[in-house]
Amino acid sequence: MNKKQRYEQLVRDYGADMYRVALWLSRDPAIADDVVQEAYARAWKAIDKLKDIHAAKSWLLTIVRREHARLYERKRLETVDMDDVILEAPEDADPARRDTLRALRQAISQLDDKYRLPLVMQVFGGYSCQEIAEELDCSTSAVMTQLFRARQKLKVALTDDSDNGQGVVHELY
Amino acid sequence: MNSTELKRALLADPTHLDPEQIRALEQDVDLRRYFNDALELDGWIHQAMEVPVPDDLEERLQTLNCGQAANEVPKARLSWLKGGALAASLALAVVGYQWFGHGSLPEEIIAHIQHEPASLMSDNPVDMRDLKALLADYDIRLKAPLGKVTYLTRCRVQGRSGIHMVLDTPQGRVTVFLVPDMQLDEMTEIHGDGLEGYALGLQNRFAMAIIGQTGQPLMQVERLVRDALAMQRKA
Repeated sequence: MNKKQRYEQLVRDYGADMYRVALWLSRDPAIADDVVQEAYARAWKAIDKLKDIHAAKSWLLTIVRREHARLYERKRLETVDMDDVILEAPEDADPARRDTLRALRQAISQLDDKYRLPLVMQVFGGYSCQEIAEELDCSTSAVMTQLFRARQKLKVALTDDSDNGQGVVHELY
Repeated sequence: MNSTELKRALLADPTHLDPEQIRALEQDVDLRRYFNDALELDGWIHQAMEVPVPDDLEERLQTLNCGQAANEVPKARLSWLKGGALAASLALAVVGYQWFGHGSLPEEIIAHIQHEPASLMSDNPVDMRDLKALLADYDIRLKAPLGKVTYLTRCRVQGRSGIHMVLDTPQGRVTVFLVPDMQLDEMTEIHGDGLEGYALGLQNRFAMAIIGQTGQPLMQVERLVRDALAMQRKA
């Protein structure tokens, strides 16, 4: 497989998820688009350094994360409220499900960065707590605490929503 | 690890279970219920985070390296996003293990199951709407009951996007993979790590792999799946 073919496979297999990573880190569709384009431009330049194709997703996720930090983290943009378009669930979902997904997306977007980053890495990278700790250069127990608290907060969002009729996730305390 | 620590670990990361956690889950009904709730929450989180992606994203990323240097990437802002162009449907399934498609099919299937031990631990039935929605994405219609599905995810097998599900049958948990656009001319045996099964072609369009514990009867499950699913022809 030549360089172009490898790149095309990285786009095909991971482009969508890398956009989602950038979106959940930035909470802004326009910024997410910039970040993922810059990240893939860097990936194209450095693709020869990717020796283990099995590590491609992790490699890309790291590039996206660093690109987001490089471009936008220092600017501390006020983007707490995600675009309504992004928060909206598909029209064909049933109303209770749509409300639940919307509530959950809102809750995820409002998580502190220290909770949202490990969650994004876990969901899109499939990382374990230990792997996240190694990536972020912190302790495994700290990551576990961050993920536990993040998921507790999201559970509360689901519970609040279930009061409106959608029965989900009962006893997580 | 005491019960509180176990619960913290299971909620923080319900998909990477260590042997101690698996043993505790096998012995403690309450903990198992807690774990199932944590898995259900995990499923909701994955669904929520799988937001729609711009329709032309892949095309734009593919052209980054064609005809222009990478450092000349246009910085056009996404005004079309604000215009409400995100009509792509939300995939309802959790994104599963992403294997890059190397190694033989049997090796990949075994590694895939090993990588997702939680897939065999869930007790909660998958919502029928999720099942139908995911099947529909692959042009499959549910024409008869499939039984109790306890795990459902979209995954990659041999570089193709497919369906990974677990059925809770009277003979025990059985893992089923359905991979579209993959033809298998003959049955392929799968075995390793206490797992055993086979893969075969369906209607010259799908590959189906069925895997259980070593010695577990699988023919009935194969018949059940064949009877329950209608693979629709692409237009």
